Amino acid sequence: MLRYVIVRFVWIFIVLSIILSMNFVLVKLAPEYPPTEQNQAEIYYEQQFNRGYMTKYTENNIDAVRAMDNSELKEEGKVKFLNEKGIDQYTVYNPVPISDQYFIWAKGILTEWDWGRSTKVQFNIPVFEILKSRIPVTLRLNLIALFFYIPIGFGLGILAALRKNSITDNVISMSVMIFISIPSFVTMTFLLMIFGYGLEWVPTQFVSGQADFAKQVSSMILPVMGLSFGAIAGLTRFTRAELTEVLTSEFLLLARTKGLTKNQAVIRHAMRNSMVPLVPSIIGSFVSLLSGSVVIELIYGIPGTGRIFIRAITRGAYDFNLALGITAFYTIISLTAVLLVDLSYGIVDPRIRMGAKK
Amino acid sequence: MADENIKKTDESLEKDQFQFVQKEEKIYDKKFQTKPIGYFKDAMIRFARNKTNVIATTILGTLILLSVFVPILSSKNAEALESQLAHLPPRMPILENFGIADGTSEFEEIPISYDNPYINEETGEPYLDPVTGDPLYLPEGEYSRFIEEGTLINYVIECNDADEGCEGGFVQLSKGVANKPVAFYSTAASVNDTGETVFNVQTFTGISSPTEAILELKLDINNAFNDNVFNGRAEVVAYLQANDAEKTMVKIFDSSDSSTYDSLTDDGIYTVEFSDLPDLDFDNNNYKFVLSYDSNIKDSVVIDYIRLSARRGNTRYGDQGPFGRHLIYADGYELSNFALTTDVFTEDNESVFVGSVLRVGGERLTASYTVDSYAKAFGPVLREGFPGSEFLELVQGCTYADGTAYDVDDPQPGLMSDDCAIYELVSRNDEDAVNIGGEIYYTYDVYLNYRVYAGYDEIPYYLFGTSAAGFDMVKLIWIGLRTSLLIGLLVSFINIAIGVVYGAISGYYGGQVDIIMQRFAEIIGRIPWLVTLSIMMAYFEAGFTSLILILIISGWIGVASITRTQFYRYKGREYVLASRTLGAKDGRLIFRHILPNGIGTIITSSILLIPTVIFSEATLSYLGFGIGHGQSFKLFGLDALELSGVSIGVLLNDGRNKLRNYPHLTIFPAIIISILMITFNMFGNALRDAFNPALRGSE
Repeated sequence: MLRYVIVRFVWIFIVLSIILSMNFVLVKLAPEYPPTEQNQAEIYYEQQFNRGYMTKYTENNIDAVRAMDNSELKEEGKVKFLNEKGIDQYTVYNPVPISDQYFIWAKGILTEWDWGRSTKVQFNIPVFEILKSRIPVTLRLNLIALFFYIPIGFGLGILAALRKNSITDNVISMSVMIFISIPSFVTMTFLLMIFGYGLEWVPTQFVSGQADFAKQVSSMILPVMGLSFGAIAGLTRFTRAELTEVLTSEFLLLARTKGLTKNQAVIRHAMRNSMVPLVPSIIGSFVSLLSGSVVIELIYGIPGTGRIFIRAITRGAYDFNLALGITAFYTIISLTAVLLVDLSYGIVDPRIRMGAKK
Repeated sequence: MADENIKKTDESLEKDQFQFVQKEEKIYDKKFQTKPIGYFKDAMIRFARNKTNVIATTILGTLILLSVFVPILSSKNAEALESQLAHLPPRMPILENFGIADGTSEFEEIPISYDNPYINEETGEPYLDPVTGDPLYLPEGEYSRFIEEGTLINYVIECNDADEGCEGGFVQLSKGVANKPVAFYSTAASVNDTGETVFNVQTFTGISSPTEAILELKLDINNAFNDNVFNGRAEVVAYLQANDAEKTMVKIFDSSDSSTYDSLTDDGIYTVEFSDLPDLDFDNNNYKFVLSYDSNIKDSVVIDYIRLSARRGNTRYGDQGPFGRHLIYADGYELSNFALTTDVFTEDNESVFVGSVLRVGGERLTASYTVDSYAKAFGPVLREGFPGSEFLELVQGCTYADGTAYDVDDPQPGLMSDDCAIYELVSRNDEDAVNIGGEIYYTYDVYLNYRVYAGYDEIPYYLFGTSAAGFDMVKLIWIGLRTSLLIGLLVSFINIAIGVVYGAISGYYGGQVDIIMQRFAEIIGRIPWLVTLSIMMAYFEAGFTSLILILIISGWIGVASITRTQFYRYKGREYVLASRTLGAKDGRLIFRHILPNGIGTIITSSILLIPTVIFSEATLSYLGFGIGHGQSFKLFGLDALELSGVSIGVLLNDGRNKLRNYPHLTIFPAIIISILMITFNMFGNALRDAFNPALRGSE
């Protein structure tokens, strides 16, 4: 058991570092977007130098300066700056090889938890600061959605399985089909149109922290609904399928022949067994909920990680450090979920012996 | 469950309905009386048994056929720009008589323009608000004659925007990041007469003649920085600086002098009412607001916000209202345009001034009204400086409304007849005439009869309305659907191809190869789509290349794992062994013996890839990272297979910010993609269930 847990841990960590490293290297290889404003750019390059991503020297040679004026440096990946007006002198910043930059970056994260600073979205603010202010909004939204979607999804799924092939089941299955198919942003848009603009029951934009509590709660309703509709449909379908299968199994027949009532049989035997694949699927669905919330955040103007991510990867205003930080956040969460899923199998169902050789 | 079923069967059986088929006959060498049912036919029977699925498949088929034929058959070019017809609401025959989809648009909370009063076209009199008696105003670009009578009302809404239409209110500077000094920084420091360092913050423009002026300043009492203020070591001082020659400074607030402020709440809000200070001379001066603090301690004050407001009387008109009632409030517009200083840094190179300048509690006069959009779009349209050559072509054979013929050499202003593309000739611009080679070219000011001008006999029906560029949404939706479907097919095809090959190799060879390939697939499959997206956006413009790459990178994994399972299932069978013994190579075993057996399962399971791809494409395009207007992509370099940059996701993206006023831009594409996704999923599920009955239910 312990060995299995450790092996999973190590494997997930390897996957995580591979994905993050790949992300770093691939994005670094792409053309860079330093800040466009002169003074911001100077600060940016000075920071790059301070962190060791670039070397700098002062170019006094008049011929070299002339050459730089004709911007031949661009091709070599160097960046130049006029030091003082009127003096033929440039400060030249020259990036070090990406492999070196990579080790500096990795060391910064591992030793100081330093994810760099934003270059475009909120200039010069540490990425982790930005994330810290955004994550609570996103997580709160998703946890509330999770809180609603698990009981509703379970309930509907169980109902459908117990009343299999009745009208209830057909209605539930049909709605499941509909909500699983419609993209979440379409659902969200319709909800917004009906309840926001049409009936005017809820605000049409997210209300942030300073407004009064009732307004904040009412502005949570739509995004939570938009997030959880698809998830509820998925969970319902999964629960129904699992429970139906268990209900027709032989041990349940045995339980009935033993003299248990239907309720006893269902609750004590069927439910517990159908739980085995369900718990992991719920953990997994939290990840899809989280990445689905990117679109919802955009539509409803929620100041969460998703919206800042969209801004960070806008072409032409690509905020390298911020994009890396946010993708790392999403990757860490999704891989942690994978780990939990693997471990949860053993907790929910003791029959599954973890790490056992096949 | 089981016992109930048995009971039911018992009831419905009657013995005399049954007879033995082969009581004394020997049937083992008899021919079947019916044709044998093949695998495919069997599946089809199973497929057709579920009526819902058949209906879904029919709808899906119709959608696909429409998406193929509508763009081909539609005569008018759906991409031609007609800005006059932009944003027309849906108009449907029959339904329009019931007031649904009748071509009128309702607008709410549209900012008005004081230059555009709502007037009675016949009398020229302005309409007045029945309650207040104020004149009514229209938003810019609306004409009084197309407004449905009695629908226009003007009302005030709250606004926080930094623009001129948003009048009055506070201007508030708020801090953005906790525990950082916001308003005060040290670089602007100077030493004053008494040897103390003064840090100036910012000079704001404009307060003129208020009867009431309030400064609100919040210092967070719990912030360690502010200890200096509350313990009297630092003083926060506010001045009004007159714009006279001496730039006289009048102190209006001093945190160390309790007589200068009216109140201090427990959580650190100072309120100062300063319009009645004797030193201020609002009649002769405009003032600027200056905040500074005197302290010898660096960065010692954190201000949560500064609010400044001023008003004269109770009137709501602020910065630019009509009838001379302007510039009464604090100059909120100017103030809210104030850019925050973010490039001033403390010693540890952290930016100091992070926050926002907001206009709080401003008021905006807006209108809500219903407008007959079709009449507006196809009615008389004023064109000034209309080119002469085009005018002469249009006016050929036209008569005036009173029957007299149009004379080219002596054009008289006047209304033209109904069937003429010119509604009214206003004037010929004789001053602007150009003489080229002895010939004189004029321009004309005309009202076009846009219906005739655009070539319609009747005002047309746009069933789904028109887009922002004036395209017919019906055609756009089918063009978009075609793009979505083709991308879905193309990407699914590529994914299936990669997945089958990968899964085949992994499953066939097994062992170490399998383990390594599985690990690789796992890593690729674990990459969140946001990571893929961020990498692609670093390299490519949003477009077909990046879209297809994003969809492919992890899309093949599902197919690979299904294929691998199939290979594990078949590779140990006797016929494979036999073929191998006869000397067949790996390639032959894979492609001739194992794959054909598993391909049915693989394909039917992969049908569901298509809606998944369409789903992802729509999401990406909706976010603005997929394709977009004006792009195109040729499949295999063929003109016939050219994809336009319009997909359903793109259309939804277009309508995203226009939900309130132009809901038709969103409703129809959303309905179509919903139907497509639902029917495609039902079709895919049904197909898979029909071919693999064992998988039924486990979806």
